[in-house]
Amino acid sequence: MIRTLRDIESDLELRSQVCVIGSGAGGAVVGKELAEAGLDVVVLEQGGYYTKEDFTQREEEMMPLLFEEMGQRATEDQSVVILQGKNVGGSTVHNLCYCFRTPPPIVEKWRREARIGWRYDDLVPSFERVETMLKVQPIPEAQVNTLNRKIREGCEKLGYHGVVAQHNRQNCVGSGFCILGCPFDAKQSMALTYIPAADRAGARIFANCAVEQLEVAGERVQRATGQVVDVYGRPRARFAVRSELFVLSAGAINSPQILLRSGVRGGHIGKHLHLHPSVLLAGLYDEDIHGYLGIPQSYYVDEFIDLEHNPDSGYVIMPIFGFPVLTASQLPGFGRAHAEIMRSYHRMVGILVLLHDQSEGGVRVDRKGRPLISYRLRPEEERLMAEGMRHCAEILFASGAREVLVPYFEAPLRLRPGSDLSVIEARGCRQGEIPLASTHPQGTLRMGEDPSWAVVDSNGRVHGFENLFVADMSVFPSSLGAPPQITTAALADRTAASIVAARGRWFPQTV
Amino acid sequence: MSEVTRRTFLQYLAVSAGLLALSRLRPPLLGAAPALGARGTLHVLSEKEANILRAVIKRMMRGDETTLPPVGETAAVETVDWVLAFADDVQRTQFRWLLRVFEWSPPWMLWRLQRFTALDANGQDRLLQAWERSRMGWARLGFRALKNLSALGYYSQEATWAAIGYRGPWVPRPPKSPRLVTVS
Repeated sequence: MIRTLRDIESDLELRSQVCVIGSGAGGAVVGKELAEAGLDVVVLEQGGYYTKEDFTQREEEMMPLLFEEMGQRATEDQSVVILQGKNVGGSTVHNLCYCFRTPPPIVEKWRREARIGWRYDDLVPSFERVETMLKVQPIPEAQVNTLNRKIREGCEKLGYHGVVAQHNRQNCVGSGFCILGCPFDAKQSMALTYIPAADRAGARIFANCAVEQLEVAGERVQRATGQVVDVYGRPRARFAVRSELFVLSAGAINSPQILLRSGVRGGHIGKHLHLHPSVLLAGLYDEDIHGYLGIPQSYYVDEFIDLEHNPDSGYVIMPIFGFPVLTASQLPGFGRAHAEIMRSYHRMVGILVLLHDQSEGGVRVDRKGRPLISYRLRPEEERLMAEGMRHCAEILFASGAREVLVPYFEAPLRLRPGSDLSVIEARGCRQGEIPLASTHPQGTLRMGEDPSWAVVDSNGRVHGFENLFVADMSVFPSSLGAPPQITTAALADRTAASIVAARGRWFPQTV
Repeated sequence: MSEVTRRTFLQYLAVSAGLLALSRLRPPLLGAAPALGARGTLHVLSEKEANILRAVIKRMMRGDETTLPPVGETAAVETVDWVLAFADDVQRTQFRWLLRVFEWSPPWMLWRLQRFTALDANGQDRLLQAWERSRMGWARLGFRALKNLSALGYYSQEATWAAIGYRGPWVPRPPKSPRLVTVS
């Protein structure tokens, strides 16, 4: 049974062997694996629990339910919007289902720089388990929609390399509303796969429970405490969970936030935030595209990233499309000029540059314990993104766009076929001058064997703590350079396996 | 765009603050979130604030474009108000302040002693542009907040979808608003 606010009448006092904080790609996996190993597991999720009947495919109704801060979470200077899930299943409920394994050169980089104690091959069993659970499979050619085909067409004309990706959908009807939650249960999110499995294995899952603090004594966490909140974030009751072992899986913003609120400071906690920042352009075509129909992201352009030879740089190009509200907020200008562009909504192709960033930021907390997120793109990476924007424009024109919009806040560019595209690189991609977004915050509790360099060890255990683990994107020792869903779940699977293998250390009675 | 130096900005900020105080425009400190009922009524914004927002959405999203439905014939303002109920107290208070500061900004942004809602369409567009291109970062952020919420209110309306070629959701609207409004 997944308990929600409806089932919580008064303050909660719980005991368990394991307390997992967060239910996304990391927490759901740990919760399921440890429950199936016979441990008594409690999973706490700050957001609500929603099923297909709740997904109305309407932006104004889904954004407050499924996203942190209604989709308005951003860096302190508001220059980068950060989309993160806030519901049972975390971001896997709204993500667009790209499934990529951790690039082997990135694992080698982590071995080299973070001295992690495992190899790519060690992670393969975890990849296989995760991919089986999520029913990962190639996207059928017939389901590559018009928007993605346009981008592929442009790339093929220009000789740019791209692939049709794998995804975790089953019996997809191609409605295209993935980002607002799947009302057809086609998307194999954590809420539909690992969470029900954890539930069947006896895990107790509590939605609407926002952890505020870990109570720490020496090298041990004693309790997790927080508030039971309703859908508006209003406190309704308090809860406390006492456990032998705690796993933080609240994401790369909220996991360090909880540690900092708990007085666990210093070292690298909250530092080294990577965002995979992205910038998008729009192409307008003469024919109907209806970019919102069908699988939003099936094609993936990897021409401009070569991790084998340079694991520290590069970017990928992806299709993207927004529903009317998101599109209207991203398009430049206002008034009649803005409305005229919106009238071409059905003839629009969205495309984005996603940076494998070496730039870093951080997470702090204010006096009320709220996260303060900072991030600053390095000048050389701003130039790299601008180069990517030029390639995006090339791709759009090569596939027949009659106009390309580059949405600078001030004096946006409206380019025509034959325009000199070097104007994009001349304007650049300066942070604060063009909308930037992130859906992959990572690295704020990075993994490594050296406590002076890292926050968690190779198994995800926090250095200096006996019974505290982290299993989410926080632990990436660097930018991943690829969509992170499978890596996050596989690392969580590995962390769970390491806990089970050493269970006598925390649960001697179970051995 | 009018040139606003730091000195004139500070002077007019003081004037605006005085006007706000004289007009008793300070929004009440928001305590508990409002009880939500059906959509279509105001829960967070006052009628005055709703009128300001309506005028903003009109110039921001539609302008003089006649192929899109008039803002007044939609529930754009009520939708923004409904979504604001999900924001925390600080965010709601900030947005209400933003609306009122924007309403009273023509004196120090355009050198015109009128409120935004009293300006003609051309004046309203000039004010929006002044905020959009202001040298002051907070004004540009304010413009973006107004634009984002205007987009949310206006383009969530089914009446706008045909004009932009959007076919809308596949799932039928449930008989009542979704579970989220009844949870509490």
